[in-house]
Amino acid sequence: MAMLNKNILILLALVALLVCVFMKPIVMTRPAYNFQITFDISQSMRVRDHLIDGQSVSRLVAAKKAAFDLLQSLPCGSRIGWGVFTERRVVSLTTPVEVCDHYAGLLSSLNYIDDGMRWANASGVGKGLHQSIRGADGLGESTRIIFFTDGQEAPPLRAGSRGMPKTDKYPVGGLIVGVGGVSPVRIPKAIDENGLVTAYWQPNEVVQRKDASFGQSHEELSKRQDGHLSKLGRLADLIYLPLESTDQLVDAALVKSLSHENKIPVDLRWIPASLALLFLCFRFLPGMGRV
Amino acid sequence: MAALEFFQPWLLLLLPLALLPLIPNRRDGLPFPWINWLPVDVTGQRLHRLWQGLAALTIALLVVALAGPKSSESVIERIGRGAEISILLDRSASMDGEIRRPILRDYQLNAEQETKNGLARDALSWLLEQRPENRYALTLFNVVPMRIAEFTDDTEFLNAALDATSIGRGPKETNMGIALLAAIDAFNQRPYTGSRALLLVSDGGAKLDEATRKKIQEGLVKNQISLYFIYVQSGINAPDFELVGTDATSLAEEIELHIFFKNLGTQYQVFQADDVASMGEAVSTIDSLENLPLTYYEKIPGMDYSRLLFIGALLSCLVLALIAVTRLEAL
Repeated sequence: MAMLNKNILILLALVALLVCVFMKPIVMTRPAYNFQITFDISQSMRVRDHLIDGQSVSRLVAAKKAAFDLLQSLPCGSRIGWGVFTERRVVSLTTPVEVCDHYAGLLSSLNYIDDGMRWANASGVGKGLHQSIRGADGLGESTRIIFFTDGQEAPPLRAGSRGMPKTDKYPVGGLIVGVGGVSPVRIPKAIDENGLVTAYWQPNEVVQRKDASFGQSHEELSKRQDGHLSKLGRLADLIYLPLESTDQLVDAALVKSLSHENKIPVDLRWIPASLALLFLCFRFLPGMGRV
Repeated sequence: MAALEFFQPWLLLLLPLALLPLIPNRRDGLPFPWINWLPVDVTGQRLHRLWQGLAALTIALLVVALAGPKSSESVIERIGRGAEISILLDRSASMDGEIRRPILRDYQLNAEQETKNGLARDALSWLLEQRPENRYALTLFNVVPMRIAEFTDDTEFLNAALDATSIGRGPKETNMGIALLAAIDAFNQRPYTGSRALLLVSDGGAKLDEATRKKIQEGLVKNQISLYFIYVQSGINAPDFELVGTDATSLAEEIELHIFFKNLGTQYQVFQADDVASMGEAVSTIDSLENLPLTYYEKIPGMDYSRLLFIGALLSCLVLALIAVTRLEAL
């Protein structure tokens, strides 16, 4: 019987291996994220006041880089869709699709998003945000929004106006991501094929604030409108994230409050297999047995 | 050629564990005070070596299986029938309008009104479903072109992009000239691997200036692209192309565009659609015309070898256990 005792570990390993071979994947819940991501493509987004790797880039490029980082960081089973905003309208480019299966498609459509898609000037940020929220609500499936904008309203809102219809009916959740620098800079009006700015908007060419005292309104200049955007965030129940560096978005977006439980089959064969390995190693470990 | 890959290659560092059974082990010594008393047991020695070998094999198989071996995803070239179709879909506000029908009769009161966009989406989705091996590029247009998908066979992604056109309303204006050029541009710098088509779906026409016309014609001819125009009729007052000749000077932009297309010198066909049936017919005609041999690439997913290895380890362990049990006193 001594032999049998010594070999009990082999029998245990055999049982563990039997379990391992006949084990089916077990359905478990994992956090996943559905984001409909909208980019402000109005003219002020062309201002180059972001730095990526020491290069100054436009606000839109910075937003796209942040979205790219997010696309890469999302766990499989998560979904992303793109949209663009200018004037008073959001045009959705794609509804959310799974990030791992459709990575190539998502990446190439993200690359296509640029200045050339701007169908009109003007920028009603609140209206765009409202449409983006309503659109995501219609998509269901725990779709949250991420809205990249510098918050520049053109024409400017009257003092006290929020510029956004009520969003109470749409409990969507998500992030407003503020892009742009904190000091006001000129907005490019014309850019040539080589990306060089050939003209900037002049004070007399843009609508200035009616309620500002003479010479105090500078709508031809643009900066990130933290005050306006955090107010919109409070009103629409969205988190406001002023983007200082593009990798901040990943930390802000991959949080529990924006996730939902996704049921996916998980392969747990490694558990019985590791046990079997452990049993066998113990069985053959020199010096471990009785004399 | 598919290469071998591991999900967790670092686990292979555990492979030396397989040497453990080969080390002489006191545990396997029989409680005999003086082995010289025993006759030489050739069978037993062989059996012992087999047993050690099997144990080593079991451990090695387990370690490799845990490391998750799989063949890498590979792509193979296939020849099928189909086409590269660049879809140019009107995404302007007018497409969100419902199709106007002649006055409904009493019994049609509940007839569902469909938007032009909805009609176009359904027909294009149908095409994707019928011909998943075609490659499609998708460009939306209003006053600007919006390229969304370069040529791909990811029909689920394309469907998501078509679905997105139903959200909200599109901008009002259209500029078909630069839109056509963008859709033609999708073919630029692509090797010619099969028949090529540009599928324009719109409810309106366009006045194109001479320079744009020239560029469109050059692009279509150079890239050998057939042109299909699905004209989603706005209603009973929409112009009927069948009634116009090639030289008519008409004020209607639709007719002007149609005549321009007709005189391009490339393969061109127009379809006038105002309901699901005529739309489906148009799309299936295009599908039947565009099915020349096409080189396409099929992705072969990586194969997971771990199950095979686990089964191997199980069998080897089973023999190990059998020897362990039978070796007792019988041998």
